[in-house]
Amino acid sequence: MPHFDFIGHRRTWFIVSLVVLVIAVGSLFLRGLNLGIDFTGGITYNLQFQKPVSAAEVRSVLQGQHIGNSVIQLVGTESGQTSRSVLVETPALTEHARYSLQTALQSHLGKYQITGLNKVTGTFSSELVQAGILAVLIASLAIVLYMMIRFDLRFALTGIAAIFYDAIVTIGLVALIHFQISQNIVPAVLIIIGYSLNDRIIIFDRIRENMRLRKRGESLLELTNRSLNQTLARSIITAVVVILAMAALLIFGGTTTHDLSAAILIGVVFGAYSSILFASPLWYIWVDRAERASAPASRRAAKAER
Amino acid sequence: MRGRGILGLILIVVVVAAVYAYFTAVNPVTRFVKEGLDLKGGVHVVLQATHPATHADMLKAETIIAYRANKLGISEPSIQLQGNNQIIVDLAGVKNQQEAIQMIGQTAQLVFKGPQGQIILTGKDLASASASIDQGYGNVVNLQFNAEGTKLFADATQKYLNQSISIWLDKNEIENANVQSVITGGQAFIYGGFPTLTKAQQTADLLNSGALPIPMRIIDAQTVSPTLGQDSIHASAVAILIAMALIILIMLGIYRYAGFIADIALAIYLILVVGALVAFGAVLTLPGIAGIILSAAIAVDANVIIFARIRDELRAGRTLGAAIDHGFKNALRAIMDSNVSTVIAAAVLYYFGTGEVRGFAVTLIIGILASFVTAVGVTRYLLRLSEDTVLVRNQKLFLG
Repeated sequence: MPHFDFIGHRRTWFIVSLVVLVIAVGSLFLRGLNLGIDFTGGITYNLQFQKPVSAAEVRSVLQGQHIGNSVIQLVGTESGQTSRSVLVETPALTEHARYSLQTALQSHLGKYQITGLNKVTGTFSSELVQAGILAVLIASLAIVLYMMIRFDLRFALTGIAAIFYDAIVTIGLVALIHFQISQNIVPAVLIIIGYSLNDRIIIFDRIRENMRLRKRGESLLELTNRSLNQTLARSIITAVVVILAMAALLIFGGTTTHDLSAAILIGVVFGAYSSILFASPLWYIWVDRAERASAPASRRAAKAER
Repeated sequence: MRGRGILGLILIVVVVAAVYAYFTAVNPVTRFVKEGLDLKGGVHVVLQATHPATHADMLKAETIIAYRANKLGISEPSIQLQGNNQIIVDLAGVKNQQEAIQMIGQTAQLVFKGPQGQIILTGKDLASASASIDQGYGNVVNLQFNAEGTKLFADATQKYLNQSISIWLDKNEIENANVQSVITGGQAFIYGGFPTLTKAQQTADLLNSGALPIPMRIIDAQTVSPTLGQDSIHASAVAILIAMALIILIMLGIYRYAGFIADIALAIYLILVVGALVAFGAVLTLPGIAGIILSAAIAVDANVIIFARIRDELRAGRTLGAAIDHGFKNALRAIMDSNVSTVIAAAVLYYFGTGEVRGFAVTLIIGILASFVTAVGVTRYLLRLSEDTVLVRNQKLFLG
């Protein structure tokens, strides 16, 4: 079993956590999220080609115009690979960009007609985002209640605080890196919260177990450190497995799911970090204070004399 | 006892072969699982206002159509305003396309008229509507008027006592009834014109959603390919296979034989999830896949936790059998707490969420249940089976 003194360096880790949080929240407010067409809406083109084209062919032309994450749908087919009729939704384009796109389409995919050109609103409204956030808040309340029953109030509150920390840091870093997000950000955040919850419970379970069988004279600091070291192998293995799997999705997955895998990747890294270096130290400080306060006055007096 | 162990190993090989054959030859995901707009495509419907419409009208119409689509149980429809007077509705997984399209575009104008055809009240005066079966009248739609409607209805039933009031829905007269008493409670029901309870329920849903502020006509309805793009979906499917292969190899590398068993459990987990999706007729979308990915990660984690505990017990000097028993026992509490809290959270998300959030919650609940059965149950069973084999003598080979 390794013997890292995680809790002894808690001040350092709190500073690190705080700096990351400030950067994340700062990016969110100053830089903002780079919202894609699901949120902002865009322009739909109904294109009628002379020869059938595939979604991949159209996307490669759009990628050349830096609008690769547009929505490309073949019309008249649900699962066919090619069609003459294609529906494309791009972000709002300048006149120059539109002209450049139209020429590129013709030179790569042959002659075509634009049978429809319309401005459309986003498919994803702020009401949907608000409804989603509300659902998550209510779910958090349920998690707190469950953890209060199975653990106690301190585990429950530090656990949920760290879950929110992970979610906020991830969204903030997504704003910092500024890659364009689609409505996939919703499942991404839900995965991060779920992963974070699982990680917190597994590690808190070990602390809970060690608290029950606490060795005589073992300080809270030693106990918390011991718990974290006992679960360290598991923490690393699970994090590495999930991180590698997500990296594979990011590298090999399609253009339209890049935002999903990138956000999850960030979230999992911070989920693993915050269980050990944010949630547990936070829990430690709270319980340590309580233990000191409830220690018999005589012992405190004896300590003071020494 | 050795025979049991060998039997177990044969079982494992058979299961692996069966899973491989099942997913390659039968391809259950594309064949049996219903997929959403983002993965499979659907119907692209363009509705256009038949009269000049303001932006506010269009926004209201969009909200009403979204409400109706939800009521119809269409999973994650996509609804957009196009240009000045059009609404695009993309629908997937609709059993009866024609019916869905019709219902979404319907105006649902409810009008109560007096004996001389004078309008008494309209759908605007309704508070709510519901459907039920009445002993005497068959399928009925119950109406509850709002304060204004209650007053109008009370006045009208007094004024037209012993005369007839007619009820019109979308310009069809569906009922003509004699007023027998003054009704002050603001309640009424309509009958006739509802051959089935479903039809009555649909009418109630339409009335609840309110009438479209402007009449709309369907000007185009076409089948379209997935919004995520056929090309991207293909790439992502390949990526998921690569990720799965990575997980399988890592587990094998770290935990050797036990890792192999965890991989078997993961394969059975996949079959259970796909089976459950088919059985419940759930519609698979990208958020749904996200739920499966999360529960798969939790399933792998459960095995990592269990194996770590068994290693602890072995290090403490227990025999393999005792170590497996104690390891599972110690790991179970953490796994249970994690699974139960996740399922509770997912149930809350399902209840309060819409669209994407619900799609995620459904597969997460299914996935967690399946992962508990496989990562705990199947793994334990197979480990116990192999306890008696030659592997036991080589602990390194057994658990890495």
